[in-house]
Amino acid sequence: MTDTTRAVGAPRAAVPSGDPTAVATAIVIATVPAAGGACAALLPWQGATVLARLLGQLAELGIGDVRVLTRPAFEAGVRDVAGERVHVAEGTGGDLRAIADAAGEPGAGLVILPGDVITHKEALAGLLKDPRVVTGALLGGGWRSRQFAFRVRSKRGHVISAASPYHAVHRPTSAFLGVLKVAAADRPALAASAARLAELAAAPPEEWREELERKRDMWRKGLWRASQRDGDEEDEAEGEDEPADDFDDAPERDDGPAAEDIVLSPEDEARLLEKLAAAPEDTTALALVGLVRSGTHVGVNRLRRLFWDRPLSAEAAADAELRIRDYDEDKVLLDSAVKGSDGFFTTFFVSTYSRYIARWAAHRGFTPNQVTTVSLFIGILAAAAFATGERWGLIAGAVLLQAAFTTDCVDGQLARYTRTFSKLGAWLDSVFDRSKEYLCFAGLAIGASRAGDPVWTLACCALILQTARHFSDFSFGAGQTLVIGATEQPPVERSLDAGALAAAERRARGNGGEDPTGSDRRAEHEPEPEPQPQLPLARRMLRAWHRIDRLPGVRWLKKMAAFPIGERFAAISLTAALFDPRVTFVVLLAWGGFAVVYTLSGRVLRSIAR
Amino acid sequence: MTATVAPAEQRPALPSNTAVYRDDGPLALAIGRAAGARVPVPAMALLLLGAGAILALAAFVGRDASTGLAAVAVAWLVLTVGVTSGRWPKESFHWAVPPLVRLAEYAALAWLAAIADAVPAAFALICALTFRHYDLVYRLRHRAEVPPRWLNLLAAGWEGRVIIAWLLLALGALPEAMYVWAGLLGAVSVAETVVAWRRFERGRGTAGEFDEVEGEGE
Repeated sequence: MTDTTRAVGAPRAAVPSGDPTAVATAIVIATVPAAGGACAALLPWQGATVLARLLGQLAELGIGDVRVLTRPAFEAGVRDVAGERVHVAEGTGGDLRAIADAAGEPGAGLVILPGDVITHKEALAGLLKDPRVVTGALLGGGWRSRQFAFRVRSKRGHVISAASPYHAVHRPTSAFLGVLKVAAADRPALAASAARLAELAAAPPEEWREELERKRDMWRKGLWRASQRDGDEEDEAEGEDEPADDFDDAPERDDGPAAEDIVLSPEDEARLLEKLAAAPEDTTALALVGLVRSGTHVGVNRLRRLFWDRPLSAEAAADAELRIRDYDEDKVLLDSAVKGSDGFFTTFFVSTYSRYIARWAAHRGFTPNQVTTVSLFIGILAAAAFATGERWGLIAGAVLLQAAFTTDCVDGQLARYTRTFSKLGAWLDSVFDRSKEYLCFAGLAIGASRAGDPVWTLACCALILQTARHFSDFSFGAGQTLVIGATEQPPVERSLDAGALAAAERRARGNGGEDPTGSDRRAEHEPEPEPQPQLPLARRMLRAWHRIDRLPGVRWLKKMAAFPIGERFAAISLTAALFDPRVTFVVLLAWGGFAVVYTLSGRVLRSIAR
Repeated sequence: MTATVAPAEQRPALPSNTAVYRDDGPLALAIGRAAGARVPVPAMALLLLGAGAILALAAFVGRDASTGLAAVAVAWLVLTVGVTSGRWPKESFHWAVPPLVRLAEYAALAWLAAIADAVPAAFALICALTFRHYDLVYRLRHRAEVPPRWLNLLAAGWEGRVIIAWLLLALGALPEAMYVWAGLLGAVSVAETVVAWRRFERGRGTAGEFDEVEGEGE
């Protein structure tokens, strides 16, 4: 056995007691220039400014120590809004040094964000108040509405590569929305990487300059492509947050005319100029690159369907003010409290109403663990009713089991809705789920014996089958986590990330040693076709298997075939109420047995293909 | 889904999850150490031969098996699957090991009890064991811990439990002794878990994960 390290993250410095992910300090970067040389953070917003709105949101989130970085030209205006908390820095290097100094102090977690970002408080809370995200970045999809946001590539919930004005991402998956949370334990890593970036910002490497020019061409092409599309198509991506890590249809495909031949409309030309002036001031993107390149584990937090924008003109800010009115923060929060990975029955027959019970429970002040415990008690009552062996008992047990399952869904949704996550809660939830299920097995078997039709052997088989199935899931999951491994990160001097450098190397080998960096300047443009040798049979079968997911309903059918908890509890309730325990166990064994064959063949294929 | 890997404090490296999930006792580990490297049979074949023999006997001989046949089957299971504690299949197939060990163990317990017409007692014992085994998984996930040594010794490992079940069968102590065993094992496991959680919550441990793992179908 070589894999003796577990996937619990790299060891970090000891953390003083308290929530290790709590954020106490905010560094707001109000340095981005808007149209006409104004400060983007000072653009008007509902009679005040964008910055004033953001500072209010941070205060509501309980962040007491707020520092605002700005430039000499904006100092007076920023001081009017932020008072004494202003720190004037000369250039990005100055910002980075200030960040390094702040991160070097001992303290709790901190958040770095641009002063010109307009989003919901809920979007910030989702990142800052979630103890599950230790160090993390706010990400979003929606290429069309966010063509200027710097890209990142994430994999299995962590950022493996990030872009900045001077850094490119190979095959990006989402956009970085500027908000970066750094846990107390990662402050030293931030201090070190920001200090290094500050040195480089003072004397930028040649690669960095080239990359900024490439960004200009990329944005020019992006604007041109957007102008070729219909107006309504552009709105479609607004607030869209596709969790799918696949941006093959990113607008930067390398088609259309060359950047220098493109003639943009005067409005787009103005937007591009605004963006080009603003881009080098994007210190948060640089800070993220620094952390990622230093090998720090940066988690992912998604915007969900909330509003986000960074206007660069008063008109854009006014437009944002109109558009943000269409969003319902509480509805988004409640919807996002429903786990996306649930099975068919849970998604369509339970979560549709259980989320409203969760909201009610939240308003009544119930905790998730209380709900979990109530669910266990209802489950015990269900088992007791099954154990009577009478028809009324079987029907009552069936109804009670469904009630127990609903409350079981409510506890997780309540935890996500109120962001009261706890490890004990997760443990209780899992253990009580198993307890309810197996207690009902026992209840049904006792009831059947009383009714004169003993089914203990069938019950025993169902119990063994389900446990073996779970252990297959656990072990397979544990193996998958180990596969992720750490990506070797190039130093921040390099504009290209590990993926782009590897691709350049592959191409250089293929092209007989052509200049590797020169040939891959378009790393971010297109997911360049990987060389496609004849794939092994197992891998081709897997590809075909994933391809049919696009057909309507297939994804749900596959989920049902795996016989998840919602389907199991529904099968128990229906068969027990309508027939008798013997039928229940036969159905559990038949469906469970089919699920074993189904999941096992998939896993064996994947193991061969690996 | 959001990232859920929280930082771990400085701690000795834990054995791999799959090794913990096997729940080997001292005897299986000793067999693995002694013969794991020497037996020229692939690990997966050993596991399938061990578990397969028990399933075939349970299905085709069932309650009619003699104590002697049961002894031979138990010895075969302990030897074949015991060897695999020191002999793993190639890494991409490690996931298949724990479910096979669990299947073999539970099936053996149920079959041995069935010979003495004590299936409900086996059901009770397996229920107590499922608590132990799910807790192995969840304590690793949420607290990044393995059970204390005394608890593992008390639980005797899968091979110890199968041998004890055979002894109870041979001594004619089924089903009563198995019920007592299930009760004791369950009570001790639950009590230890309660104590361990109290300690963890007091120490404000930062290890472990908040979330269930995706793709488990639950």
